[in-house]
Amino acid sequence: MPGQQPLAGLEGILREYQGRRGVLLEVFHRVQDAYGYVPPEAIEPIARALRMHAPTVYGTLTFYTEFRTAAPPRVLVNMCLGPTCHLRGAEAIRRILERRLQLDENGRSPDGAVGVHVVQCAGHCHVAPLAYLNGQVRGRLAMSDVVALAEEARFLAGGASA
Amino acid sequence: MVSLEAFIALQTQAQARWRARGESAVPRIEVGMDSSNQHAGAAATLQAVRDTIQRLGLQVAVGAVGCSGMCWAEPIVVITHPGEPSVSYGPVTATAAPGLVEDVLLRGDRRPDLALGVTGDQPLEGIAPFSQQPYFQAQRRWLLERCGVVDPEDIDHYLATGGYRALDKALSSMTPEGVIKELLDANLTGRGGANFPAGRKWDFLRTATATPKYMLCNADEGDPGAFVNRILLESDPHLILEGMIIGGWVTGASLGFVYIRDEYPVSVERVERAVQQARASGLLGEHVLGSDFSFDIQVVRGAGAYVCGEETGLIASIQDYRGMPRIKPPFPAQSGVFYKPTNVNNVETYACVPGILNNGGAWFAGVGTERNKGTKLFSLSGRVNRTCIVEVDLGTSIRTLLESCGGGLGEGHTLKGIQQGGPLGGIIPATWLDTPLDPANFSSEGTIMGSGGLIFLDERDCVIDMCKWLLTFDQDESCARCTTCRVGSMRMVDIMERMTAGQGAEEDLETMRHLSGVMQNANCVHGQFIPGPFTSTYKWFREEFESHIQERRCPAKVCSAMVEYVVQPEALADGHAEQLVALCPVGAIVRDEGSATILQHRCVRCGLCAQAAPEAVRLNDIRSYEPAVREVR
Repeated sequence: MPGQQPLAGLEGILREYQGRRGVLLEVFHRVQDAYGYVPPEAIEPIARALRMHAPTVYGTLTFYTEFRTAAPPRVLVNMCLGPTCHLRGAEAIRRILERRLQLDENGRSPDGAVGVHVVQCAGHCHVAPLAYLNGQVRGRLAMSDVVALAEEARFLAGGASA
Repeated sequence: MVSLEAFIALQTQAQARWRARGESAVPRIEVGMDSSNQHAGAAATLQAVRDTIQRLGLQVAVGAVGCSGMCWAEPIVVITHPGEPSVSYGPVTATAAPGLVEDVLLRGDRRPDLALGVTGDQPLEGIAPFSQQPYFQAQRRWLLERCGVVDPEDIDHYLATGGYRALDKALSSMTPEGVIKELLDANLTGRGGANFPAGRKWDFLRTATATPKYMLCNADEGDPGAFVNRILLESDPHLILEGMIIGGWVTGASLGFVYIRDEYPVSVERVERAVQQARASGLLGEHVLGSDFSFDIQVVRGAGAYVCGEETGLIASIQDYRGMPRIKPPFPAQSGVFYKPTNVNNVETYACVPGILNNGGAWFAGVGTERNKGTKLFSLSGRVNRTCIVEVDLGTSIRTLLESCGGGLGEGHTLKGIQQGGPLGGIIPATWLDTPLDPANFSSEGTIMGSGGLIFLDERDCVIDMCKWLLTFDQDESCARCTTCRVGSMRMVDIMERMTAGQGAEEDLETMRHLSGVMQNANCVHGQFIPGPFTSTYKWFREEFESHIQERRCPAKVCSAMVEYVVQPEALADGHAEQLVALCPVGAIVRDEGSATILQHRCVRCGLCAQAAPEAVRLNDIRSYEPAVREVR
């Protein structure tokens, strides 16, 4: 694609996987670990390295919910909505966060700095309901903790302006 | 039986290290460091333990262990004095840890208040042994034997406690047919929910002619509320590897894949480390234990797709494609990974294999029910007092699990139902409490036992809401390849949304039943089982559908569009109105002529106001419905 900057470091990641099969998910994970997401301009080089069609690579990428195709927000709140969390009020927690952080339909705050994302149940039901604030677990959330959680997310996002 | 020389060398070295650990004159402190302990704060506890030891200048060996299954009591700390049984403590937070270490190691105070139990059969200074506690008495821990006891990151701990003995036995003195015969004698069936005899599956792969062949371990444990594979992956990973290596030898496979879901990062790390250690010890790679058998294992990290737990979806995912299941046949044993013969088993199925080879198929078949043998792991969650993982004989009643292991429900609550079998399973009523846990008892009632997740619901929960939740999950996770599943599940969710919003109609139930029939024609088991939550709820909780549809009322007051919080001005104490206004997290409460009013279009039904002022805030059913003006999301 003309005019685009080559992604720094991508060649280094792809070197290990040249022509191999059964490694695409691992490549995506490596790329996402390096850049925070899988940039669309990485698709062509990945396809070339693995000798796949770019549309197939893109198809696989978008099938899996854990791969992002855009940069993540500065502050990411990952919420579990599993059954035990659900029974213990996770839905209300999500709605409170939605209101407090003024989230849009994609779960982003107006300035884009905070994002609320729903993750799959990993069976940590002993601390339900739980959320992760930038990867750190916040377990046994009471409704009264949620306002503090929202404020903390906003603080980490850099400013109480929102 | 003559052991392989390479194995004897490994075992001797491991046993020497294990013995030195047991005979050491220095006390030992071990912290549970699997992901469930870490979610409860174990990393901070471990740090606090280390800091305290340094501050006090004590001579103590600090280590890590896995999860014992007692999730409710985590973080767990195990303290062992030289020559004494180990005492487990929990929950030990980072704040409680320094006091515990000081009391136990400096003052000689056992701290029975924090103790969970002691290993062995004898009490120790007022601390009851685990073997006399209901949680353990109800169990038969064959697979969980090492969980919470050994360091899962140390292969020597596994070797010294009987690990890889079954592999040695197979390689040195058995034939592949002999191993398959033991599995068939044991009547080991697939633990992921399909319940297919593992011995027959292995035999399909063994007799397949194409090469190479692959062993695939399904660790994509996606069922919400099921976490039985996680404990094995994180607390005893070598047990799974041993089962897979034996499988590779029996079937002539050259490569194994462990497909682990992305939500289990600790599992990925542990299994990868275990694979590296096994390679370094000659248990994987060229010439396993010096024999002419070569086998290797590759770990594949998933990326958040539930449907990849279906075996053909799993295979597609490994092959770099979208994880979409396909129509069977051909079965994986004919055409699997890269179109080569492949065997797919669940984590727990592989974990059963070493025990069967060590003790014989008859030993395994000695427990269980008439039709299904052995033990099974279950995870208890939901409204149960103690969230935990247990291993019991097949045929144990749900009551035993709930009361002995799970500590019952909360004080004053009654069981309403149990969500079993994952999101494609169903909701069974409380009358099933004494039904033996045997897959046959579930299939005869038109539902499934599944992979082991049991979520307990009490009278506070709405089964219609739960059914909607399950169907929404299933719809979200449909791979969308076949229209039957993609559109059928969407229609089911639409109808459930209407019903839970008080806008259900009689004919909706008819449509749901019709769709349940149509969905049987979906391409894969995901679509075929999606109606499961509805059919079971309809079968056992029909009156709940009736109250939602005819009375437009949610009996448990859960469905948020059918209830509203209302302030009773006469019951509101002086000055409390301001407090309620300040308390509401979404600003839905406003001052209203000396009292307070809740703006229903803003309220998110979190119930915080009712918790704070239970006498003044009531949860009422909504009687009139004007959908156009209701903005409840």
